[in-house]
Amino acid sequence: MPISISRSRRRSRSALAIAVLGTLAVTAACSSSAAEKSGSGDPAAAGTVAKQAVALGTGADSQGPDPAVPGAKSGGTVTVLEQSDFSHLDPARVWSSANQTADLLLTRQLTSYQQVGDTTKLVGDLATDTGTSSDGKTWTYHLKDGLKYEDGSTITAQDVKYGIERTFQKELSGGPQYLQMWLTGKTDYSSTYSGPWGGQDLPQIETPDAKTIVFHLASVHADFPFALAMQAYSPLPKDKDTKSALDQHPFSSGPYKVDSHDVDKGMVLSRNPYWDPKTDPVRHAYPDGWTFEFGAQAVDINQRLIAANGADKDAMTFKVTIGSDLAAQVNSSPDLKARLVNEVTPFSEFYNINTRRVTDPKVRQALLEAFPRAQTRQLLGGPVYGDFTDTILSPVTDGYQNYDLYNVPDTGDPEKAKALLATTSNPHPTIVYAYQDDTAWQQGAVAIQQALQKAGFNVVTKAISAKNYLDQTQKVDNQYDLYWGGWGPDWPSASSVIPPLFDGRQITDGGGDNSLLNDPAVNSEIDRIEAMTDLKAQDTAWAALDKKIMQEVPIIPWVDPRQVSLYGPGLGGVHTGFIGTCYPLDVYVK
Amino acid sequence: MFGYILRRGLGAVLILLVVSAVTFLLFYALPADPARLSCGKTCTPQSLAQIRHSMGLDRPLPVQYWQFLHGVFAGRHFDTVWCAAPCLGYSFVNQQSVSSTLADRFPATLSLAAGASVLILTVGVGFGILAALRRGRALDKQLTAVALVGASMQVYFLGIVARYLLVDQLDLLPQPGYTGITSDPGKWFGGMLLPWITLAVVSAATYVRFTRSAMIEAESQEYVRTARAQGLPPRVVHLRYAWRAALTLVLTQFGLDLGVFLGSAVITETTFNIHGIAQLAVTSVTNLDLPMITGTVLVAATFIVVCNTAVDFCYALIDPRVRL
Repeated sequence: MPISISRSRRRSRSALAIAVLGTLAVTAACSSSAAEKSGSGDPAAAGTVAKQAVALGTGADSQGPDPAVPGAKSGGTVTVLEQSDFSHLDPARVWSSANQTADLLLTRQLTSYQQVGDTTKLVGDLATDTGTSSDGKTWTYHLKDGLKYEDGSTITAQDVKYGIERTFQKELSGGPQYLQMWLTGKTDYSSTYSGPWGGQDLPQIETPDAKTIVFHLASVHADFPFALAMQAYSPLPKDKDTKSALDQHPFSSGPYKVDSHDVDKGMVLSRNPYWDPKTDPVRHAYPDGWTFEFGAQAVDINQRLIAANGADKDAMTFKVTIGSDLAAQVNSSPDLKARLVNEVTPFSEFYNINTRRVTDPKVRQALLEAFPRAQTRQLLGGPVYGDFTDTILSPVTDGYQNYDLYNVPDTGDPEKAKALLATTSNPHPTIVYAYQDDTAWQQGAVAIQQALQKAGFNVVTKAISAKNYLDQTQKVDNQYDLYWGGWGPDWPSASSVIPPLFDGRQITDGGGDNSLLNDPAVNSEIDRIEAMTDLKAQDTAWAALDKKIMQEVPIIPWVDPRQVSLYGPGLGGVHTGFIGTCYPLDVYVK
Repeated sequence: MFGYILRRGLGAVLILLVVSAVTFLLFYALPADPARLSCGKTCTPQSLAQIRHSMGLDRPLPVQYWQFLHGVFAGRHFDTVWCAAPCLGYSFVNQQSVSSTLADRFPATLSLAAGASVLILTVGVGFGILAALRRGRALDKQLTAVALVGASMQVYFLGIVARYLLVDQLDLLPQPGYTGITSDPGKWFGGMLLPWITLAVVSAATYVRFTRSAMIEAESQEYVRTARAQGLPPRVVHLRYAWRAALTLVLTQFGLDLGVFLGSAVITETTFNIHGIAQLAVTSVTNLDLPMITGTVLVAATFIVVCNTAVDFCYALIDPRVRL
């Protein structure tokens, strides 16, 4: 999923900006206070990343219950403080990290991720396993026994099918489109099937009985079980489809249900009494309830979490991060340090080079070599903002291989870049850098301009209002050479990163390929890898392609952002999850 | 008198019509496209057109405006949803009718405005009278100085500092925020206390100074001197004669302030996370929620127009010359 620049927009603007972009694109896990960040990050914060693949779990792994969190106990109510309400809760419309995190509590899927300690496995959630397929095109799933909705009725295969059919309905915009495209074989999938509200059936999904569901994909997708884990593909009984109203009040298949939801103000969840932990290998439901409060500024949320008065003792946030303004205070206080999440997210941020305008790979390489990665990160908080990266894939992607093709210091190497430019036809090319018009990015623009000028570039900087930044830079015919970009994979496989970012045939206004790279060799390699049925071989091939693409320098890799968030001293089991936000399913009240 | 009220009333309606038309125009001219925002990543031109159609954005602007006005007086349909009159539109972001959202937000705004007004008038006018009566003495100087310090504060500064000290650090006051008065009066009062005090500290200063100067001026008028010469007790002279003259000025200021508190207390509601109408306006602007923006702007304008018209009526009651 694309991530929005709003993670660095923070504080000076209303938090709701994040929710807005959440509908257009998808926001990064973080928020709050980077715009005013400066200097003093915590050098110790940039720790090493657990580099481990997400394996496919077995049928035995797929049986519930989820292994207990050591020391956890049931009971209590957790307060969640967020800057803004969840822009969507209707699973069909859920794609941003915040919305997905909320739906972890309210929905179940055929497959999902089991996190135990540092190990993450994809396991069957509603399904008995992660699915069987002989050819990568036809996938069969069987539902477990004892699966119930919040009203006690049974979850059926037909409900799973209906939930997926709903994602075709144009009115329910905002969700991911993987299954829709894979089932119909078309990017314009609604020309084949337009959703169930008109009474039509999607023949590509068969439900021979109440507990069996068979998918017929148009082409091979070895990572189909991963795509099914997205919250968008949750079950819903046809008679519980309240259409657009479902967005405020989803019908729960998960461990909690919505008691009340005051849009933009608050939400209260209580236990779904019919949810059976013995069927669920991925969810704990230790707290009796969850109370959400929306609308406070990030600075207030962090102050409340630090003060932890009254009910705030048991408070946390899914999204709000601390900036370097609080990093010093947090690091000097053992109490605060003890209740801090500080982990790298699956997201990545980079600078796109417009390959249609900067056509010479040597010039692009010189841009990368001269680029002041450390200075620009410092303006956004330094190490608490994220870890430097030299690759396209993030370390939490399956098959990730670390490499550094160009070996330049994080502060940039203008001399090396200058020497490279001297070998091209124009040693002083003009570069138009587009940035979001607010404090940190304005300062960043100055740093970038100075660094690139040292290498011999003529730099023109263009400010774009925060609201229009993504719209403008994601236009195919944009008039910029260099601009920020961000991406979050939808599952820990490169197939949800490399094709959307570098398949030139997917170039479109508002699309993901914003470096506009359209290399036939890359495109055909993408086709070859996607047709593989062996996930392991696929991972290796993607990692090789990552390196191959970077030889053309379509982007300047920059940082893998971190989630650094406080939580109340009354809580345990708080850490980040596969979505990148603070993960609610292991949380308990001490 | 009746003709005067009719003229003023019609004038107020006309102003509201103009405000609604201007708001419509302004937000229609925004570069951002609300339909694009709800269209998702791989948005095809077809689906964009369909969303635009269902949001009514494909119709000419005058038609959209006419439909809006029609909805206000007779209600209208949005796709499958019926929005009853007075329908100020339908928010596609929240999937709620604008009128019901505004009605839901109004109690919070009203609580803020009512409580703050009581404090402001009591403290502001009370201090003003005291200062006037003790003109030139130590108490006058102290009160004026306190008022000046209050007036030079801003809600977003005083509010955040007070909240940090009194709520987060010392835990003396509960977290500010709005709870329905009927659901928990104690929590309602506790949550509104800090916003009321902050708003009062910042706003009361004006009233202290207005009341003081108007009282001093009135005290030097001949009719007051006459009243005093006739041997009326000082209390009666001050409160019945001098204070009544000061009332006009205070009333004018209060009419303006109340209108602002009721629809545009953006900073106060944002600082204290009070889910009122002004905060809704901010949320709607960031969400590009055009119907909701129009609704909040109209409501804010209505309050200002209504409060000012009410002040005009009061003038007419106080001073017959105004009716001419």
